[in-house]
Amino acid sequence: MIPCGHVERLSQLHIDGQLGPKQSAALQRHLSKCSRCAAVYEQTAQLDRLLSEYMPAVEPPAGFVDGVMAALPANPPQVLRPPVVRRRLRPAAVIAAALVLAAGVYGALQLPVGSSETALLASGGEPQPLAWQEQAAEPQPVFAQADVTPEEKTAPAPADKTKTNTNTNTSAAPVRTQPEKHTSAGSGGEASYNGKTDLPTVAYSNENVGSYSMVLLAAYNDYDAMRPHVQGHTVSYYLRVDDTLQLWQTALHDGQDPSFVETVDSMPGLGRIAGFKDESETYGYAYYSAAAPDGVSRAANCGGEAKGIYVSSAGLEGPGRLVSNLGGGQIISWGDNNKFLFTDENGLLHVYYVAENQELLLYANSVKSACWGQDGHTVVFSGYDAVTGHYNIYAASLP
Amino acid sequence: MERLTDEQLAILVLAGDSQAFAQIVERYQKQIFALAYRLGGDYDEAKDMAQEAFIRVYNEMHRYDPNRRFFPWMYRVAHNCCINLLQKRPKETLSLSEAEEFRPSQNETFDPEAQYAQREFDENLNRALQQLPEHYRTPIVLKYLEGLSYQQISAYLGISQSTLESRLFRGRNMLRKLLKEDLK
Repeated sequence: MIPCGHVERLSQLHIDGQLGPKQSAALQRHLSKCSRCAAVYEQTAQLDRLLSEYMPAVEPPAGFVDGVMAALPANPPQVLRPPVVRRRLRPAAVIAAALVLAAGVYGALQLPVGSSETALLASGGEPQPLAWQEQAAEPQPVFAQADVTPEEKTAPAPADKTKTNTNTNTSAAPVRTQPEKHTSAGSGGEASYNGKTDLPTVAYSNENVGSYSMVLLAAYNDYDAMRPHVQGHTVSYYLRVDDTLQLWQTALHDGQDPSFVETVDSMPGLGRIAGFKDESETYGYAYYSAAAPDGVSRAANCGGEAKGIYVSSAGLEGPGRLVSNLGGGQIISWGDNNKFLFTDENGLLHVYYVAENQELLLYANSVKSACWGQDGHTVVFSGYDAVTGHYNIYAASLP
Repeated sequence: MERLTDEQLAILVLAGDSQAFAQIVERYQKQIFALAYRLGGDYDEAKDMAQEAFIRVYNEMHRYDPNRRFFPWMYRVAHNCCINLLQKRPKETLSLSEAEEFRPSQNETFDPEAQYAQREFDENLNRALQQLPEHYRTPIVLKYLEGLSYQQISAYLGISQSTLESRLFRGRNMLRKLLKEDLK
């Protein structure tokens, strides 16, 4: 006999055609004997019908396939070109385009009607402080890395370059960084890389946090630069070219062009984040937590009804304090005892400073993977380039 | 004749077999059309956008890695293409009432009272949907509006089928509570 507590879930699966014959029969038996569960089933079915009617299937017009085939180019898909390193620095443009794109990411999966702002912020209830589940902190690794596979994120559409505007802001995420000064890069324009050892940087400031600089380490017109990791001053990353996976390296500070290292069979396993724990399955929504190197402070990135970033500095058992509503992301890792990285539900990369109680948007576009350098101040990440539609490798030096 | 998998068809396309691409279009025209319609909100525009999206998929086929699942890759390329096209079009807003004009009529007879009730419910449902967290709303939209299967949704979102089940369950459960009055 199926317990009543399982009926609602099984009813939905049955209505969706996801239940096997045995379970379906068991469900039917239960429903025939339990009027309360039968009412639950009927209500579930009613909602399903209403949703189907509310969002009716739209059919393409007759002859659609023929129309597509007639419009295809005469030549078959092109053969891949070998990768060409596109080394350039245009951080101001990158940031501005990313800000523009943030709105696109934000709105990408909205219905064509209704208020998207309400939708993004709604969490279905007041965020609740969470109690920490984990007991002990693991030792700090050489570098902490997390990765989100390409399937897990929706890459936003490439932005129209003409829309780049350094003054553009967006309601998609609070942007607290404002351009302050440029050393070499022109405001909003592209600066060509001069091959010298001093990389031009663009500095951003935040009145309470300080400033950071960000440089573009590697970019390709046709490939995603993936899963960077740092050892000393060397940044390694991967490119998938044709059917091969290639390991490339570049220097963190000296401005050398990236160099091909070797073809590899697979990317290494994900780097371990100190004290990291994924309890998403337990909670039914994104729930990642990580301990600071001191083993006392903890941070959690939560989705669902409790969406937000929570920090506890009162020991491992203490309740978390909500410090930001930008939860629902994928990674969280500490650079030192005062700051940690996280992504929000749109994949944008943020850093949070505990003592200052400040959150800083580090990259206003989708980030595929990120890691800390050994100094605990440098963040290297694979970030989406709105212009090329591919991921580049960036390094940010934080205060 | 044995039905070829998406991945097998993609390999044939890469080998120059354009008819294999016709099979891909045939197989996914409804989903891509629904995607374009959902993003653009206009039937005629959806036709052009969906066509453009398939052409983009064809032109981007050389980037497809046959070792990976084809559908999520194709859907993402089509999604990006539609977003790109929408960014280029003149800015217009589509109101709820305008959007409703394109919905197939459920009842040919004119019944103002029923229409009013339907509109009121639609507004309540839309409001309730907007209140759902994104990761609950998206699977519901993909399932009902774009007609994707469990397998396609989980592949596209990069989540396991059990996670998807859980999200659909929680999302609809929240909807049911939010629409309690309407579902009486």
